[in-house]
Amino acid sequence: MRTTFRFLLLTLIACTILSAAPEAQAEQTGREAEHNRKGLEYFKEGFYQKLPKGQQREADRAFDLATAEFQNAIALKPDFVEAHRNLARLYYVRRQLSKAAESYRNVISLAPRDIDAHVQLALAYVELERFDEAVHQLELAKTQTDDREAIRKLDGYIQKIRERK
Amino acid sequence: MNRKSPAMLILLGFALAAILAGMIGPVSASNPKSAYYSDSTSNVFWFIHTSDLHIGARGTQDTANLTWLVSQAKNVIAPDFIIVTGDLTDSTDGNLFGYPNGPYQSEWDQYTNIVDVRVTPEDYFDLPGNHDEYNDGDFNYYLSNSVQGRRTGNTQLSFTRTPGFGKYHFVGINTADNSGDPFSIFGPYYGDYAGLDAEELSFIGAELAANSDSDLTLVFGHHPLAPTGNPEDTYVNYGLDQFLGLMDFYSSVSYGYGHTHAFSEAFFGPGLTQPGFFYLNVASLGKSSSNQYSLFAIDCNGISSTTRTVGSWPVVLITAPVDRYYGNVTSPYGYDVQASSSSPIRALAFDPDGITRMDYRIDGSSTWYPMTNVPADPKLWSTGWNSSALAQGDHTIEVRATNGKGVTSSNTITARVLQSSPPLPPQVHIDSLATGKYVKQNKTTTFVFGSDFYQGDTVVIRAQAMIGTMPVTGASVTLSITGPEIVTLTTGASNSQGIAEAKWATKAPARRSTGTAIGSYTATVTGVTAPGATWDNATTPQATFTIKSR
Repeated sequence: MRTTFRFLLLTLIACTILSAAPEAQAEQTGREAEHNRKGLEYFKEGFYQKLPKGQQREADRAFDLATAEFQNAIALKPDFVEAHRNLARLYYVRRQLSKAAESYRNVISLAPRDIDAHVQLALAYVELERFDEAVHQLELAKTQTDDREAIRKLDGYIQKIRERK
Repeated sequence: MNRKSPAMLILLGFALAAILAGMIGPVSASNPKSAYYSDSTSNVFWFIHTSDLHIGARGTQDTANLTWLVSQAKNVIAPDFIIVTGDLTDSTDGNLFGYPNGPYQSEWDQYTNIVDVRVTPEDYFDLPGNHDEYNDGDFNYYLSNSVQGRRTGNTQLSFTRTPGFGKYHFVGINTADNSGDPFSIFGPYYGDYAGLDAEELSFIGAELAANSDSDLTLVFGHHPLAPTGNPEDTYVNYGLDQFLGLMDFYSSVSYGYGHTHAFSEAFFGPGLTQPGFFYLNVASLGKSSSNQYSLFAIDCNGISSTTRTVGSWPVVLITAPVDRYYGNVTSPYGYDVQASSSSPIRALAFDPDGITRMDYRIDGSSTWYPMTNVPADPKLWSTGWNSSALAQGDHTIEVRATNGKGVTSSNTITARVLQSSPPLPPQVHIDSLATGKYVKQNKTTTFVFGSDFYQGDTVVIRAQAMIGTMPVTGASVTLSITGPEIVTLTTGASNSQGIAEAKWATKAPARRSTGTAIGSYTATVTGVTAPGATWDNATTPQATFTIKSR
């Protein structure tokens, strides 16, 4: 009887924990996702609605809001790779290249096989005239893929940097 | 305009098919076979097709070449319009890798700074390409900056030209991906899953239907419609079958495109019920070093084009006759030149320094003949060419333009000359067919006509071969004898009276044979050969006879 009671009690506790845990998880995911979603909205407003119409000031305002939203998302979930990617893109678009490079590095640390992120980071380095780091980044990218065509392209980029130097 | 799942595409395909089904019957279609050979000098107009400007690309002649096209080329050639099939911008902002991570408003600003003061929406038609779409699936930058995007709020085009001698419909399609995916260094699509979604196909179908009374329909888009052999050349994926169905249904005469940065001239026909359409690829205006634009002419509904390099003058294009091998095939939309002492040749010629003379020659001859300027159309030159002296068949026509500095340029086509129909060989006919046998009387053998024979007789079938009312010597006749037995006989050569004879030696009954079967027989002519003549196979006299037992 006592054994049965203990079993039922443990089962109840386990069920409570299991049912509560996803809620907590969902709440956290929902908030960071919401910030990321809002950030994207602001980014799109600035990048697709304002910039093409020459409304730089309005675009900058939207970009500031987007930056804050992406940063909030990352603060809630530091390994939220999509938010890092969006923030990197936003910095790059705003020509804040050092910040873009830092954000792309974060993307790559979370998603090392994101070869296009490696290329974007290398591009940011090139524009910062940090050529050796750009080459290093592309060499690193080559180790993350078996795609021969992609490796051929990466070699082409490396060659261009060396010619540029 | 978003990427659709395969299932969605199938549904949309059905929807489109339903739309098309509703159209079948009342609509007409343009007629690529309507080209005609005429001495009229007033049924011609011309336009320019170019592609892949890549404004913003590092280390290219992008802005210089576009400026040249919309200033000097536009002023000198005076095309009815210029159509540009996409990749207006490079989307790289000149980055070192050429990695398209835009869009960049700075590139679009360069573009609008060049075109806005030199073209109008009535004479310049710019379409988007994949470089105008990376990271911008809604084409916000194209719609805010391109000449036609600003005018129409659409990414596709449809316009007509009615120069007084026909109606010509031009459709510009948006083959670029609609997903807004970024460029990727990974194939097979490289961020460019090109195609036509339901909304785009609906526009194309509606415009083709609304202008189905056009003489010709010409379609332009950015991407190829099939693999090119280069794995990096993306091509139209989704919506392709529906698009080809529309091209086929409305008998479009051509599809002009870019994207590959290479020039090619071909004919697209597989899987279509109509012969197909000219499939014409122009290289990149911004990034290629040659073949960067094509000059097209429509002359009496015949299409011709020449693909040229920026800055190269003079430009010359033969507009009539049309090239028999346009599209690198025996063109199903061309015509033959009926030989005459004055077969028309027409050509357009352009040069900033003016054209001082135009000449033509045939089959690479060392002799050039002058052409004259058409007073009503100073860019058009014409002449009458004596094609009657040539052998029937293919002949090359080369037209050479000379500019004010003595610089020449030429254009060559092939035309098939048809001489007046050669006389048909005379036709022989069998005027009469009769039976009889040879009878010997008093050492004299004579032929006796008759139709009753006994077993063992030699039946002689006599045919008279004639051409008109004249007997034919040397004719041979094949005969079929049908009845209880079937026999084929061939006569010897006919004599001077046209008479040819075949002999059938029938058999009399013997101890072990009943002989040739008795009964009624019919002799019929089944063939005639005669020197220098053919059998008319029309007059087929018969002869009937009977074989009896004794």
